[in-house]
Amino acid sequence: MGRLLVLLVVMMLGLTGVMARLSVLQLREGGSYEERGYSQRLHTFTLPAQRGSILDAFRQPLALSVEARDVYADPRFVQDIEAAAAEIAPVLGLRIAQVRRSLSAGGSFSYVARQVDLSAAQRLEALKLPGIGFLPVPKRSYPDGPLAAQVLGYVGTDGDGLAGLEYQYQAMLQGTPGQLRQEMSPSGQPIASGVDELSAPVPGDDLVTTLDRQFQYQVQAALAAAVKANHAKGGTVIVMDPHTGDVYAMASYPAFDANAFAQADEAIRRNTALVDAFEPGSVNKVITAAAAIQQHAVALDRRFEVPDQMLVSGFTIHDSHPHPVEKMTLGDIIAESSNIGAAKVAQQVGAPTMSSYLARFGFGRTTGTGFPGETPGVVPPLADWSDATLATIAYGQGLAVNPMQMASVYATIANHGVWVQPRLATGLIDGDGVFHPADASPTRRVISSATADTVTRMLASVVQDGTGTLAQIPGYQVAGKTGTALKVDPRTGRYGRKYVASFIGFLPASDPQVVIAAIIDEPTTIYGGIASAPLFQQLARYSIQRLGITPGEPVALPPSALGLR
Amino acid sequence: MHVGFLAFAGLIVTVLIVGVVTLNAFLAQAAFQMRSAEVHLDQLGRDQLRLTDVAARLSSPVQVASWARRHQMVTPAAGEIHILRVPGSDR
Repeated sequence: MGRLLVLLVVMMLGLTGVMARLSVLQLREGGSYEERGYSQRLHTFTLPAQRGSILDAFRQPLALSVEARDVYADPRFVQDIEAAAAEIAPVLGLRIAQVRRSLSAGGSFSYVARQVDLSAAQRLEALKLPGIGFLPVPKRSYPDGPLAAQVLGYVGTDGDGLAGLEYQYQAMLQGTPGQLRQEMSPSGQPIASGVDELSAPVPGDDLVTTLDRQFQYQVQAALAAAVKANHAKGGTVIVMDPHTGDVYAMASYPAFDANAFAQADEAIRRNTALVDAFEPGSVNKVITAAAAIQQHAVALDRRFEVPDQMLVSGFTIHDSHPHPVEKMTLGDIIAESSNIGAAKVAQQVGAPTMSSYLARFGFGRTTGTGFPGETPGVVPPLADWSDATLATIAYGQGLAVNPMQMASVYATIANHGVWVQPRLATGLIDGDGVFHPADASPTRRVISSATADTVTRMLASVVQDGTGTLAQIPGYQVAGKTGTALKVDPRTGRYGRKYVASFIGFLPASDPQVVIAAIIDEPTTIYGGIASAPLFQQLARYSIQRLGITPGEPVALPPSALGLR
Repeated sequence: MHVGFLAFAGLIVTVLIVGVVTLNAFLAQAAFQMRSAEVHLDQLGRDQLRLTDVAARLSSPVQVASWARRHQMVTPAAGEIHILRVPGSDR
């Protein structure tokens, strides 16, 4: 009996101890244990959002995200490194040594290749190589390869836009990642009655651009042919609607394939139409003429005495070719592209007025496209102008603009004196497929409609009788201007022997439907009328077909003292 | 009476157990089907994008011109192209 009592007491004490410990666990430490257990069971997964596509004006995809695989190795489980590398390399298009390095890396994880096409990944998966794994990842695809690559930009391996429209519209395209919170068993299976919260990812919006991929292709093909024919360094073309500011095509040559952007030189990846500035040369004379007409500084029938060279503030300026002193009207000066004539007109206008017209046409500030890295160009402040500055700016030397700024000047003339902000995107399509149009481009009147129409008549005479005859199109009256600008040699900081040849114009002169800027960098045939006008003509003829442009009534040409008409 | 009651109670309990198990199996089955449908839908979405990409590549003017050149065709210069418009087409 005594022993039973002892046993009972011992058991009671034991049970009391267990009860006490249970109480401590339940009442005092229960919360923290519950939390620890919960945190072990609860897993949070980030669900990446589908990046929006970039579409052309007809909703054809120019860039979209497709499924791909990152291929990785767990080197601990790779049995025969040499054999595995020899099998993997040809499937992924890599060198064996490169794969061998990944397979023999230390640790438990090493990338073999990133963003591999699904078909290649599936071929590799079928080999069932031990230690090789696959992670599903999105990959940016540019189905048209080099088409508009400098405009579209590209996306890094982390899915962020790095350049161009991909960078500019990153916030809209990227979408919002989702989240999945799940309670899971130690074996990784979801617990049926546990937490299962899904916050679905919101896909990015699709960006609808103003580009027309068929137009873009023809522009790029024609530009490439023109650059090669002229043994030039490169070239830039812009095709736009003067009334809406919509850019149909924007091309830079040399081009690169956005699918393999890392292999392209950084200089080639630049969208020269917006990020590079050039001295425009004689295409800038259109501003000199517009200022003179708008300010009534020069009558259309006034005859200037124009020699082939002139001394201004100790600086000799020349026409492009020697000629005797000639009588020229403003129309003749533009048609024959006389530098001396333009300088004399600018002297009539005066430096402050010329400076204000450069600003009114948008020089010295970006065009408002918002394109990453767009240059505002360089316009010397009025306080620094000498008589020589006024003279050289009159014919487009001594200042720098980007090609889009220059194209916008001609778009303003074509749009009867109203500047329209150029644009590359017309709107966004949300995840529900609803199109949200962008606001219409801002506009401002720069010169009167009458002045713009008079300048148009002069530009028409350039093509009919002047330096731009190679831009003629039978049945259509084309208005435009040639430009041949000396380039500054970066080594000496002075003008060298290289040129930029350009032709910028529109058609038909009476009712302009399209503006085309054709610029060729360092052609062997230096003149814009020879190197660039044929390129303009090719693209203008295509524009007539693509846009269904009708000839319209011809405009009257301005008075001439040279007997051009 | 006692045996009858036990038999009846056993039947009731068995039916209840079978019912609960069956219901659970149906719910699990439905959950599997739903998950499977979600995965399928997700895959279809990815397939759609992949096929859109394939279609865009096949219709790309770059590809078409390249194919034409490979087959000894001459692609016209931009200025020599004449576009025939189909009535009702916007392009």
